[in-house]
Amino acid sequence: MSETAIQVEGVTKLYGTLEVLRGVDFSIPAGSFTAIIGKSGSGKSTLLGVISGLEKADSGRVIVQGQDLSSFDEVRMANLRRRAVGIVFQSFNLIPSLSALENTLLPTFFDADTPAAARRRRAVDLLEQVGLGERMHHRPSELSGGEQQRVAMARALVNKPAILLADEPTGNLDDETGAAILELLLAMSRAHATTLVVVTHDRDIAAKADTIIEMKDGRIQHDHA
Amino acid sequence: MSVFRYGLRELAYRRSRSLITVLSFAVAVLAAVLLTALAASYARAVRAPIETVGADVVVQITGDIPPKLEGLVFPHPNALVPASAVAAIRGMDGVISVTRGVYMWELAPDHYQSVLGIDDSEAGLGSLSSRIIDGKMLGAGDRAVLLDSDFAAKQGLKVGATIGIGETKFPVIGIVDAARGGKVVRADVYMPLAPAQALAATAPMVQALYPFGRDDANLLLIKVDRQHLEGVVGKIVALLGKKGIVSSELSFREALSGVLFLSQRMGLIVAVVIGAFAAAFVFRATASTIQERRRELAVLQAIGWSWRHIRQQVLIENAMLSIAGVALGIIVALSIASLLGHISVTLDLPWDLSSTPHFIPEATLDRTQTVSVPITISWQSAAIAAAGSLFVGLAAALLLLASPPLQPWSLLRSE
Repeated sequence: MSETAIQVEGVTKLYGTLEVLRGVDFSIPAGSFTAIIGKSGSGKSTLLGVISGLEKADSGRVIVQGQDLSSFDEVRMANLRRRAVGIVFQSFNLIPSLSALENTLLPTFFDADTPAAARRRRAVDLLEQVGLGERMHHRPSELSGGEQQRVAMARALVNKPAILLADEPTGNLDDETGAAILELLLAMSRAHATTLVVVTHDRDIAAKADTIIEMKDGRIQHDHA
Repeated sequence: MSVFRYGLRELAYRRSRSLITVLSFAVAVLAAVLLTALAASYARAVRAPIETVGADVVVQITGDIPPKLEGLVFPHPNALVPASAVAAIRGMDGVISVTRGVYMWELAPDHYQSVLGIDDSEAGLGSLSSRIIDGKMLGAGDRAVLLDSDFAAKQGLKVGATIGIGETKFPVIGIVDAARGGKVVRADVYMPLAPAQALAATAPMVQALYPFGRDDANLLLIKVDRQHLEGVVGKIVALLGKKGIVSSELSFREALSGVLFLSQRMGLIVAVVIGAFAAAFVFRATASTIQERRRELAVLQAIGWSWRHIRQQVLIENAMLSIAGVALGIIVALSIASLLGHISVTLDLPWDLSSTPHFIPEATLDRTQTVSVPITISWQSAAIAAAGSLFVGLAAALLLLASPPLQPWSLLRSE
């Protein structure tokens, strides 16, 4: 039996009186690709936020890499994200004042164990792997949407996380670019042996996943391989 | 790439806001530093007329008008200062020394001369020694005189000549440039105290009013520990009553208060008001920047920065802005101080400090003294302004980022 990367037990989440997650349970094996699908408002994106620790569950437990997040304070949560979790967003969320390389280096700022030169080398390697070796000194405003998402991928992977979370990673891209980005995401995930969790409403993307978790009205409707 | 470089990139990216924030700091520092420098210069200016006689307080007592304005008379008019008052002043806390003088006008139908006999002390004869331009300095036991250079030129007198004062002839042994010492308690003729006391004791128009003895004086020059100045002046005023004429820098400060609002206190108040406006602006600018960067800060949280790291980043950026503002403010303040160079203040001397009889036509002109004082930036005020600016910059970041937002995911999630 494979090791569990993420375990979610009875998680609920309310926004005011609106129950967005209603007792969600599932587990994700390490190294797998899981797609969380569902319509808008189904709670899939909130679920990803809870797994990342950026959104707090009102009840239930989220266990990431064997660590129960409910007992974590803000600093431990930040440490976990820095070391074990990379996140890719729909709208890229790059820092506009920094170049592609500097954006990629941001998560490594407080990694005192790795020399600066080694961190920089890894960031450059990653940018080359995503095909931005020639454009690493460009700012986000000088890059296309697809290129920005590639930078976001490099940033998410720079600290060698065990888990890569992606929230509608192709949502802001045209079909062709989106397909290319998805292929790259899968390839990078495999190459770096990460557990990949992608939130999407696109069933074509979900079709490539090892496991699909289908959400509806804050509950898991189907959970199938 | 370091947090400093990231900070610089951020500040450059938001260059308009950064520039305005730097200017806010600069204006506050400029105001604080320059206004305190100007206030200090004015304070030095109002001190100058009294300080040039080597004392902090000049004491006289209002007297009566003599029956005839001829021969040696007490000026203004004033009266003798009782020995008991001299002893009481000497015993006051904060009084460093008391120099006695006898100040007289000798009036003749066609001319007048002012005569000052004074103790041999730092505020007395000692204050003249640096102004000798010809001849030699007086000793306490000499029966000789020094002449003011303007007076000597007008009278055609030189070192070696003799001058008649009352019924007595005195040899002129030196010429002093008294003008360099200002106009307060300035005389045409200077002599040691003893011969002046002897002259007063035998002057009919003095004796007609006062039983002036050979050890009396009608003028006191008092050196005071500056921290006790107000207290000492108050005590002397209380001691001498309504007839006492107590002149100090406080008199000039009072006289100038209507014209020159830049007293030390006013300068400080203006600087504090400008500082408060600048602080409010810096708070507002920091709050707006944080509001604009909410998403960016959430991204930093998402990639593993703790809230402490994020706060540290904003602190560094605000520190950079405040340091730049402080540097700019100080540079501009130094430039303005250097361009202005000096301030000139024209002070109206009270009648009782003027050496010219008030019934002489040129007396009104002689009653003003223009004091020129350099504007000097105090590094102490610059350091306080710098510390204040840094405090405001850091406090703004600390207060506005006191705790992490509860739901950063809401800023980052897909639509």
